[in-house]
Amino acid sequence: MSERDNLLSRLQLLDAEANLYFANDKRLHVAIVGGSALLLLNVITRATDDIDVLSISAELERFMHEYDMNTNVWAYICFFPYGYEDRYQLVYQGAIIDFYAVSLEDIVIAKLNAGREVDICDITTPEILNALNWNKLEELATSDNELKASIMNSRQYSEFYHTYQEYVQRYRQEG
Amino acid sequence: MNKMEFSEYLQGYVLRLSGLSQLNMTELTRQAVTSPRLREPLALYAMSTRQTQLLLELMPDSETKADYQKLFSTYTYDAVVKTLQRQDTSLPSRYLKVWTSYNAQVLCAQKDAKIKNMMKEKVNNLLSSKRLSVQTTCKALNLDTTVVNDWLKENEVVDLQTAQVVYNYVRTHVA
Repeated sequence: MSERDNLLSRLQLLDAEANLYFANDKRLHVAIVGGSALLLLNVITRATDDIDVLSISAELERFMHEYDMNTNVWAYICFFPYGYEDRYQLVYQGAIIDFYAVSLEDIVIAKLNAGREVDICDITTPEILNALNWNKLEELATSDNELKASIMNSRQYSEFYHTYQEYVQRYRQEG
Repeated sequence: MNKMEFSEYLQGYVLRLSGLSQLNMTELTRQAVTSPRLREPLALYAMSTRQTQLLLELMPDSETKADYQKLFSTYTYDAVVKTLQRQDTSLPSRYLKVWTSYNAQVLCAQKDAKIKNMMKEKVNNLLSSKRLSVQTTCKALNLDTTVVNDWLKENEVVDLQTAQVVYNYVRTHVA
């Protein structure tokens, strides 16, 4: 079983469990970010066991721990471009849960903002560089309505932009 | 089904993270140098297989090696497992993440059977009202009546998707 199939079977299990407890006339949702999102988007193939969640229906919060889902990323919500929700991609539609992935370009912007070694390693692999829409990335990085609208202050944006420019100069040719 | 041991999980996890087909410590260490996500699982794997000395010899001088030395001089494998079981924060959270992922994997393996059983009970209860038969349900869903009957009456196994489709159909048409 591929890593993606493995992850999908876990989402299917969550959907089935939620299906036992909730009426199926209301759609629930989970928005996934990080490595799991990239796996679901077919961008990467590497293993990732924990699922970073950016948004989840309140009804599902009690299941999160058992399915190795965490919302640690909520603390870094200002690292994402403002309109990230508009770019959600439906990756699996269960009986009552819609599972979305945050777009690759939104994830790369957030990881550049975070800037940890592990984040930078994640976004410099050939598979990420090949899949990136660099024009879209530029728009999210520079538009007044995207990252600039989310980030805390101009100093943080300057730091981000410096990292972003280095990233583009170093890796765009490879992508 | 026997519960998977943590050491067994670690073997599979380092293989999956590295993409290797064999547990070769030299190659795993080489990958851990450039792949931060492999570092903590590899340390725990080395502890579980008594290869800590080899890992230290293979790992170039670095912050990671210093972290490993500290970990190996503080804990035996049994002690580290007990610390993880207690969710003790004296260990960096990156190690706790590995433990959380292991527990979720064990739990999900058990949940699959549990959820299907719960669905079976609910379907049997709903069908006992006689307002819907297995034959009608299977015809509507284009499923093999024998397979579904064996699941409902004889404890034969069906896949989760089949169980969920039957459950939702019966729930919608009887309730």
